[in-house]
Amino acid sequence: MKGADAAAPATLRPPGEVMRLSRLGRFHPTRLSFARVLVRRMAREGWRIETAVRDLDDDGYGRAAYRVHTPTGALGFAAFSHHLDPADRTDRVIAERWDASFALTLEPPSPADLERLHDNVPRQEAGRCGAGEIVLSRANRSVRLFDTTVDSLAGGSQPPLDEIGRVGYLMRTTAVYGNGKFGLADFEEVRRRGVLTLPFQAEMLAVYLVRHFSLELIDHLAARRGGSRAATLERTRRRALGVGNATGLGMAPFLVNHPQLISRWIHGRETALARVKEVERATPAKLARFRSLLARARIHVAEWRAQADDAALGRRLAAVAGRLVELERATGPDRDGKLLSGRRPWAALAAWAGDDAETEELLNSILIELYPERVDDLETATGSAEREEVRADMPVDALRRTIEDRYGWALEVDFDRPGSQGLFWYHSEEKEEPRLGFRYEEPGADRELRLGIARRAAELRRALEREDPALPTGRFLLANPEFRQIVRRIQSLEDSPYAEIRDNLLDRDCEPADMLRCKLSMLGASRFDPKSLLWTRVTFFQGAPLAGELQDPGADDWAFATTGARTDP
Amino acid sequence: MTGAERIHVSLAELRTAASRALDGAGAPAGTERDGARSVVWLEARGLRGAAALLFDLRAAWGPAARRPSLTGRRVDLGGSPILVWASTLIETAMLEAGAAIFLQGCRSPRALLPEAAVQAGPNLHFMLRAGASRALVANGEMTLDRSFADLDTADVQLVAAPGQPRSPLPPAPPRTRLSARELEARHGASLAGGLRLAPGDWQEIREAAARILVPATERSHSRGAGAEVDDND
Repeated sequence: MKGADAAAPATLRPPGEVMRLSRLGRFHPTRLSFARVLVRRMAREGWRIETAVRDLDDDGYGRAAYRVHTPTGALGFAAFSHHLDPADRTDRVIAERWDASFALTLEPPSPADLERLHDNVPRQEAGRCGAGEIVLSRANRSVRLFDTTVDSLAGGSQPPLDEIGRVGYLMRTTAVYGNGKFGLADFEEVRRRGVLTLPFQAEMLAVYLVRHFSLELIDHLAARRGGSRAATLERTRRRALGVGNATGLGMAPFLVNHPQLISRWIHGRETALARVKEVERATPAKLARFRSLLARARIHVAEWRAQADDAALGRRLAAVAGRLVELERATGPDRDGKLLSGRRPWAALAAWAGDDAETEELLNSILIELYPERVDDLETATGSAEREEVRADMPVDALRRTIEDRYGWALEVDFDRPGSQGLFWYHSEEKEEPRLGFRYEEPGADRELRLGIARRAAELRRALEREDPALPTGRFLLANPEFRQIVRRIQSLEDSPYAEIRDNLLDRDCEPADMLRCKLSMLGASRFDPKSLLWTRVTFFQGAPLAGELQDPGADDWAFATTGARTDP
Repeated sequence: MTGAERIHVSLAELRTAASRALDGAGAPAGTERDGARSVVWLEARGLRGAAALLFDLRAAWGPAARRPSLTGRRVDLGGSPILVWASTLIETAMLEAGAAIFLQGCRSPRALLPEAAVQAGPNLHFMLRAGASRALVANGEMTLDRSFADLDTADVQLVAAPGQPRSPLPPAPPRTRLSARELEARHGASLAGGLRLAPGDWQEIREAAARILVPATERSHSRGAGAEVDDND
């Protein structure tokens, strides 16, 4: 970070304000999101993607392999494209067949490796990966866009830009597995190799390469079908296409089960925001850049609205669109004096947003985008050695006071209120995915996941009140082992202010989609579109530089990607 | 069984399965995570973590088995699953500040080593003794008799002592010792190449882990669990 005031500690928003589902569920990706960080790193280090194998037939079925050249060695990526009966096409995670399947590998696969991968990768969970594979994924072609795009290109024309903007992808992943699942390499080993050292970088790279493959596949099919008449997809349209993703509840328990990691992610984001809000004066260049990003965000929201099926989200986005228009007028070149010309203009902007969290968080993403020189050093702060330990010698009275100091939000929940424990989380027999059930209406509550942190904290406090205040926690746990999880958690998170979601996740009215959006925004997903209480559709890498453009000037400028097909609010 | 006949399993995969298996067997909340961490720590260093897990899973668990009784400095483990209790026992020893505690009927005494390794530091080391077999866990160092690693059930004397050990373990033929360097090399090899488990053992662990799974219902499907019902966009 540069600048005279950079060394001063920034004033962060308090966890009580940030760590509510109603706030986390309004997050937008920022330039610190993992997808953005990855692309910047690829650009900075001159990564190069080389096609090693492309063996696809007239229908696009077959295999492809890529080498990803990095300064510390080459990674590999294998793609398998299959025939899929339309009756089998579903984005449910429980599906067993897909249009395409993928593996990111620690080294470029040899022909023998490719054969082994071919035997296993298309089977996904039913196959077996080795220690040389990092990520396993699969995707389906977009029914709305894939074939029509091939048809247009085969006929020598480009597909309509607004349709590309509306859908946003040619392929949509339904799972991206990493960190040792199904025999994949452990994250610790991947990190030790020195290429993909931060959480989810491997998964994001795999998704970027799915996009690369989907663009190569579409040109291949158009050429095979249209012959000499065929066009290739032109650059603006290629850039406007990302990778779709259908995400279910699997992400939600992650936020609860990795509190130190989450705290670091949120802390980094909040630190970036605080640094920007402490800027004393906005320079003319920054004001101009702000207006440019604001206009882009307005169009982005308009295109997002056109895609969104969720009525509540649609209403919120409509409100955001209106407020952005209002803000554009208020911050136009002739109106700066009112809002942005005073001291600490960006803090004033947050105040302008008021209680409208959706608008405020969108503006926060713009602010972080405005000052790369102030925030980009935070991009490596996302890793964390997660270590939770019991402090056995802590007197239980001190532990009780810790709960009262830091878990007041949990103690305020009335667990006798009907509905306050209405939900339970569990692992389903179907692919062992996390699910949500209604406690008093469905079987399985006896096997619920331990995500009710608020309830457990309240129960622990009650139990501690009955003990000798001087009793060491270790002795308490020997007699009361059922509290080990919550004791360890509370004792280990003293230095992790943003670790806990400060809501009762068992409440019947809890909206898990908010948790999904929080995590997806950290990954870098955009255009959140919840399809139910339980899953959401998003897009990754829309607007991102193509593989051959990573070193181009301005390649990093793809926040709030738009197709440019519409400019009205 | 030869290595070729074994199944490749990642450390994370074993950790998840062990945690769920212990959970499904009735481990109190949070102890399953300690136990799973110990299983992986041992298995990745060639100290038969999966075997310790299966040994515990096959034991009859009851309410009494879940709560060892502490009398003075004597802990009657009564056949309790050691993986569930190892961390609590190490903490209990730490609270005794240098005095030995005695663990009666300790299953797989090697299961105490991972938590001891986590807790050992510049100001704390652990000494474990089961009959003639010994282990010493100090700051970044661990030395143990091979026989200690092979014990199924034994009475164990456990000491959490301040500072660093004044002397290493008593002299013994080098072939009976596993040095810290060798243990770390084994861990590195496991990370690079994954773990190799007997298919039957892995299947048994997976089946134990499946006890926590809840069958899908029409209702969960109708609400869209597992993503959309007829998503073809």
